[in-house]
Amino acid sequence: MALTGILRTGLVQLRVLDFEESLVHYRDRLGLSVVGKIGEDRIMLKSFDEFDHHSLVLRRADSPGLDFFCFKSLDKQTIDNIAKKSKEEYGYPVDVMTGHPGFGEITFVTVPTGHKIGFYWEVELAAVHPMLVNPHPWDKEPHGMGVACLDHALLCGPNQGETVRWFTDCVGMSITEYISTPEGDGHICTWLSGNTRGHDVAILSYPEPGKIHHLSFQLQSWDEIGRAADIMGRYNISVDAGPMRHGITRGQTIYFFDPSGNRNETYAGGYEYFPDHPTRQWSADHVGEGIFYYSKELNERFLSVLT
Amino acid sequence: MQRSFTLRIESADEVREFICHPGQSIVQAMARQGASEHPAVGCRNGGCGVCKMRVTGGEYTLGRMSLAELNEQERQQHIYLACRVYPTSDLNATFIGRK
Repeated sequence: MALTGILRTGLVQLRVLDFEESLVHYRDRLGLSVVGKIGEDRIMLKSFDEFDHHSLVLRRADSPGLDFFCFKSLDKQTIDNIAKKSKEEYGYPVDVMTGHPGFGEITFVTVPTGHKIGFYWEVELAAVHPMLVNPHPWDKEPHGMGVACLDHALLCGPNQGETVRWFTDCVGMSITEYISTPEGDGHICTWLSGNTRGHDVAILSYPEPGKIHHLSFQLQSWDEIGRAADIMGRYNISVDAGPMRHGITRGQTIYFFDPSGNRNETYAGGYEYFPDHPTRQWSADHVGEGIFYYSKELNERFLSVLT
Repeated sequence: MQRSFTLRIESADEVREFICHPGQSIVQAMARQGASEHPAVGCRNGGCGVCKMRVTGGEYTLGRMSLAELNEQERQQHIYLACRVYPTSDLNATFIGRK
């Protein structure tokens, strides 16, 4: 039995301007493996420590950004309940996608921040996955930064409070931390977990709908963060901030950009969360150390640069 | 060795000059010369739109940039995302930023 019906961030589709540069970035630098293509305009990838068919789809488009963000869910009942409540009590659009390679039905809810949030529970075991019998740490040694799996995303849009209420009340996730508005009448940003991670998704209040601040990939240690930083230096990857620690979630991190301007994060550590843990709060005047724990200085770029 | 170029970037109430080496974008040249906190320095990869500038003089080549951040009318007025403008001569530009 899971802690909630939401197991983890499992499938994300990002738009990119160019395949060639994007593959160098995601495959050769981050260390994902290509699973295959969907038609001419989409490429499926996965990380070495993920069991499911694939976790990231890159779609070639004329602008970068997020197409959809999906949670692997426990069972059909969980998803049916979310779909029914989203439609009947919240009045949000719900649609079902079938035929995504390797996946069963994916049920999407379009939330007031403008994002398509998906839920699925049936997915094929990947051709290459963590070993199951007398397992080694990995079947084939990780390459590049060696990211282990998807970790979380920070999504940005209007109606932040309403969307957070849906994540807690309808999806059943917990608020692990939040930053208050200066007036104390709501949240600037809220961190939500459906499992034992500090967050699976965070929602930032922003005037334009459907934006993504960053997509995060998991590393195992501060050493691996350092090695990832070396790879970013070696290959002139556009680094936004870090290596550093977040006050919020306590994760160790680097923010950087993919070749289309989508912000990525390599994330390690952070605390374990359980649903009985109290929510941690940050006041608006401490937001600098919440994000950039060492420098405590929030740069303008962090809040204004999104895709 | 190929010669480098001089960029004159006008923004708000100041004009700053930067040295740009062949192959560098306007924003790369700025970021590497003490202007990393300039509002034009964002994703540096043609996606976020914060570096929008009007090129007012000089030669350059263009890389891929997000069409969500730039319309055809702007392109006709030599308005581009400066992180994907690669000067091939001395160049003048005016910072606009993301609306």
